Amino acid sequence: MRAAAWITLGLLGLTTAPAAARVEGPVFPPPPAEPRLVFEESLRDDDGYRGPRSLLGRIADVLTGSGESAAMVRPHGLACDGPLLLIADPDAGVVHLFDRDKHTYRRLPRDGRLASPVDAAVDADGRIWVADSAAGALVVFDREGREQARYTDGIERPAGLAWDRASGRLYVADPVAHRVAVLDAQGRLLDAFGARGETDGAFNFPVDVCLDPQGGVWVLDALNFRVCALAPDGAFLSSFGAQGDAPGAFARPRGLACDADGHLWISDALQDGVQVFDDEGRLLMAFGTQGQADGEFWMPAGVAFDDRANLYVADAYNRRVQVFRYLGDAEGGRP
Amino acid sequence: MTRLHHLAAAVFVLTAATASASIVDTVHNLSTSGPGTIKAVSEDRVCVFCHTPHNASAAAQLWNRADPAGPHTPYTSSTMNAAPGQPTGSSRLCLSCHDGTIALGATLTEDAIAMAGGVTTMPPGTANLGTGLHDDHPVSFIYDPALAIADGQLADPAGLTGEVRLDAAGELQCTSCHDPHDDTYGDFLVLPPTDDALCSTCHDRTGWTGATHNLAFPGAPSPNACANCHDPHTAGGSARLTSSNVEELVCLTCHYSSGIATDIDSEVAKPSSHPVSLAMGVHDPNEALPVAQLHVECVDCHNPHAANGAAAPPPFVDGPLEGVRGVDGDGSAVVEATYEYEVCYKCHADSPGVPGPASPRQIVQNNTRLEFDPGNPSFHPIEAPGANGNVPSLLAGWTTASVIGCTDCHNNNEGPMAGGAGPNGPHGSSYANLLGWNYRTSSGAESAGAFELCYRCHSRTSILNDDSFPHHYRHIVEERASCNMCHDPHGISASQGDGTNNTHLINFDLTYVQPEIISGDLFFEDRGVERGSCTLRCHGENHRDESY
Repeated sequence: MRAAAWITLGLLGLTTAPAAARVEGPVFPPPPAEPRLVFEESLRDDDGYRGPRSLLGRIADVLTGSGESAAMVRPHGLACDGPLLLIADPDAGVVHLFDRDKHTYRRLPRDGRLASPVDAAVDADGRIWVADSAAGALVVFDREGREQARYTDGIERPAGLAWDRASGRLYVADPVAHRVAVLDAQGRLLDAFGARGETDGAFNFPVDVCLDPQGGVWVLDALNFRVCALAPDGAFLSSFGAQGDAPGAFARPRGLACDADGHLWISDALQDGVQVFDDEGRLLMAFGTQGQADGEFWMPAGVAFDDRANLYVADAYNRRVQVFRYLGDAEGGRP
Repeated sequence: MTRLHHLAAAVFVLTAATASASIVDTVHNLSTSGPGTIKAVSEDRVCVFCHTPHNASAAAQLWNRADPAGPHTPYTSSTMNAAPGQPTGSSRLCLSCHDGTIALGATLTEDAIAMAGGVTTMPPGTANLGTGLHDDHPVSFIYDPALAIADGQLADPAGLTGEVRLDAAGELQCTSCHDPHDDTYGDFLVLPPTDDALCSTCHDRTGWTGATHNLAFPGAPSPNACANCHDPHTAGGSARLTSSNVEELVCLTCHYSSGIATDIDSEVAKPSSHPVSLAMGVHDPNEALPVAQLHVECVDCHNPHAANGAAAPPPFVDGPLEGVRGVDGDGSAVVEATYEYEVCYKCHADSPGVPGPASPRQIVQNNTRLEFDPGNPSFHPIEAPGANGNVPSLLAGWTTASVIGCTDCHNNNEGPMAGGAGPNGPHGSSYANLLGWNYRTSSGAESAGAFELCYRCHSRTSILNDDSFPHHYRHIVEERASCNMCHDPHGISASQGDGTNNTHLINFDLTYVQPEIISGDLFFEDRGVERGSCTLRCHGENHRDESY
């Protein structure tokens, strides 16, 4: 069992790191354990994401105001779509949209601001869905940042979003309604799972939702201090997690993402770190401490993976998104 | 704190979750038959790790382990009446493994018992408390009726006859909460950790019965109970065992935008706010009042053990402010604020460094308490109804006998009083000086929005109709003046102003109002109901005894 191997390595500290990984920033777990995650960079603003600009273009930026600062205020939920990284920033009232290939930056909406954008997700047509928690609405934008639609059907206060593009279903964690709503691409409520409680299938402030590679639904049930696995139709499958400050327990779980290996990466705003579990709830790794240096966090929020094994963690009070390279579960290779 | 890296502990904790009433099935069984990962290579006797029938240590319980040398750093807190010193009694026995200084296999009667995986002392993790007990619940202190009375929020120890017990010396020990032989409830606790049962055996917090944090879950109390905010061991905040050493994070990690609780995180990020993230380690629940070093934390205004949703009319504190300390109208500390302004006066009255007036005034008074004193020539009716019995502009619902709260003006611009959906209270506002409504202090066109704040109580129609002062319209509309240029909204203290020159909140804003050019005089003179005179220079015009 590979998962068990991670823990054993950490427990005994007996292995030596393979020579393969040449690393720039902090690595996790720290040596002598085999590195699984490498710090790459921190994104704080659109520095380096303005694209190649002529002098005239830059002057035009200043004159038209499109050269305005894109500094992050308090990044929260994250989403990836190919090279696109979306960063919901409720205090800025915008979603920052970075193209990591073209190195371009855009913000949604193009003009003005949303009340409290806390998460984003991209549907099969490339439209960007934004959870505006304070407005109690899902706001849909095109890639240019033009508002296309606004949906409130079945939504009380949306928090985490996850699009299942194959089935055309959007899962919406609604903490105040204590349920997960399912919408179609027209914003119509298809289904809703859960009610407030502690039992299997119930939720107590579910704040985030993600999908595993098989389409299984994972819900971060924050104040039950657990993660719940659901079938796509909402049937309860399993849950793990307990409240506490020990490794493997949750204090203020906030963001949830699933990698290509089916591992669950869960940020915790009080632990100032991220814990990684396999799908049976076994702790594989934990990283992060309170601080401002690379690999340290202050109120981490959303986590997301892109399709090239980069992990993004919204480091809310440090006003940045930290980027890590996931080295994968296979020996020395990427997933 | 590097506890997140301690993977070994994860194994330990995950295993510890397996509950059992027999020590044999618990991780305290360190023999080869034990269920945990930390166990002996070949030793198959269960009890020998702690007990021996012969040649035991001088400690009781036929103890088979050396006494931990220490010294241990005891828990301290400014609000604790107990006096925990070095661990005593059975707590020393627990610490002979759990302070991480003595090898698990080191017993008095055996040669060092070899442990699997080369484990010697307790591996890092939550079970290893270290010798620093400053972040753990205090132990080894006398818990007698005198302590309960002195604390005021502790149960009478005479009632501790159930699962939670003191030792023979009347001291609270590790064994008061833990039974090392019985893991029925997990973590070897003597009672389930949920539903408050364990903590509330001793802790009887004033106001907790009706507190929102207690009643937040249907079928109250909250199943996670005290542990929502407190950690009994290795607490991030050490004193008071709060889950973070950053005071506001204990609160804001739930009170944020996702809706788990009222979103205060977004409020304190507004341009004008009570900046709870600026100070760290300054606030102390026992600090002398008025506050000597200005700071603000959530718990300066809120008591998380008592706060609730009850409404109350001004001047009384409402539910969210229940059970907090204050400073009364005389400047004296009060244990529990009765009136809302008493909470504000903790910092905005007699404290050194308190911010001055937002506008440069003819009479400068930084002490808000003195501005609102009912003995003043004029004041907004915070502590008592106002001095002026003739205020024709008051809208329905208000009379000259009304009192208002500080939060009638200082509030969230998106809160319920302002017609929004945001939280009530002066956490943050988009308007300067934490005002909940627009209040233009500069020169400009009059509109309902320009003086939105004032027009909440004072009829715009009446003001512009010159019902009281016959030249309001001329000043506000024609000369584009702001209310703030002549009126000082808080009040003018009796020691600085008088009943002739400072009635009607008259205290000029020197940015716009200057002394009369010949005499150098600058004053208003009250000449009876709706009669007065001004000597000053304003909007380029010289007024000498301009009367009405």
